[in-house]
Amino acid sequence: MLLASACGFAQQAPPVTAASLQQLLNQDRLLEFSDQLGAAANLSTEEHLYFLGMLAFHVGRFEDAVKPLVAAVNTHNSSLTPN
Amino acid sequence: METLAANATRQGQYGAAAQMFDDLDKLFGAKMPDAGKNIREQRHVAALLQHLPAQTIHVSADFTLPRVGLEYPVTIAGKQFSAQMDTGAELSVLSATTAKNWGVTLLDGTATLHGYGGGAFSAQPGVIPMLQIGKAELHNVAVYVTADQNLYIAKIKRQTNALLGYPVVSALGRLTFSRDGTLSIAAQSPAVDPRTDIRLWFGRHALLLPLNTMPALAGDKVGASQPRLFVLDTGSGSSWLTDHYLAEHADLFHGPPPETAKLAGADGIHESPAYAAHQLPLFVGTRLVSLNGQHVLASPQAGEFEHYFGLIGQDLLQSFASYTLDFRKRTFSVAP
Repeated sequence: MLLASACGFAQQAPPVTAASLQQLLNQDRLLEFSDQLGAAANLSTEEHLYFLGMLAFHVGRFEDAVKPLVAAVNTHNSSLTPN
Repeated sequence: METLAANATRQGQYGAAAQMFDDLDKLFGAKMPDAGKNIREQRHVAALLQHLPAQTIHVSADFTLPRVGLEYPVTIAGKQFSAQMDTGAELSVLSATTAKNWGVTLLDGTATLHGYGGGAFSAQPGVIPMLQIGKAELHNVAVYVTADQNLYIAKIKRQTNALLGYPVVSALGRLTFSRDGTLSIAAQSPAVDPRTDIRLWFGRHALLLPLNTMPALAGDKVGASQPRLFVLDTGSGSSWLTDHYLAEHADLFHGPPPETAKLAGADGIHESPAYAAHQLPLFVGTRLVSLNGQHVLASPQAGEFEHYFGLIGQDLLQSFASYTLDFRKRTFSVAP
């Protein structure tokens, strides 16, 4: 009983995925996106580049945004993420 | 790809932006809710400027300008004129009369612009070969020129003549707007001070500020909560909060919204039920300001603003002795 309660309180945050990051971007929840990008696991190289480029754009590092975004776009001709 | 296009626009690379909007339209336009109309309009706005040489600027020394009304002095070909500085405007826009007086070189074509005074309007591209603002000299300044009446807001009987938008304002580097009306430009920027400087964020079209909306206790110290993003618009006279703010502070507002806010949007003046702010705290960095009388919107709005918690305009900015926008360091700070 105690163990079950303890487990209930120790719920882990859901994993950060490409889909959840894209959802934050779609909703312009940029501060949360920035916080969660560092915790993202299992992103493909292209997805990682794409999100890094998006972050660079949103923090105003426009020159730094180009390379990763172009690399990501050139990899896929459609959306990189499910949303 | 849309971000790449927006990124190119922010850098004044209009040809690259037009190409990316074009690709975006071909790939996804038909699947978009408006069948790609918005993308094609943005593409056209960029395409008409694509053959302009890149804008350049040289700031020879620090300088301070007086403000007359809403405008600051500018010089073109040795003649004195004046213009507003508007961080909320993506492009610089002139009335036809002003463009004629300034000797603007008009370019071919017309494009549809949105968002000034509440409507869509037609405008012709142009270029100011050399624009002097104090000790800053800008070359190849892209502008859009529209009929005078498109920049007239009947409701407040205000005619705007010249609106220098993000490409010019950001190029000036570090701008300090003081309560006494002066605008000071610094040729160099100091190192970022994390105690006072707030990082600027950039939305797809808007300039954003992370601000705290409630105090939080950390041990025995009063700190601030998680920040929320607000649109910063130095061209807006008033500030307001969106329904996102209302949702997080629902316990502060009771009963049906008693007021009606009137907001200028891309397709006209929108009315929204609203509450009036009363002693609502907002932390600009570590500075606390109280919102009094501003509207807290009770219903969602269309467009990009809807995704943020509010808009910070001149009524709040004027509560500080000065505020500084540093586009080199991408920071915002205030002096109490």
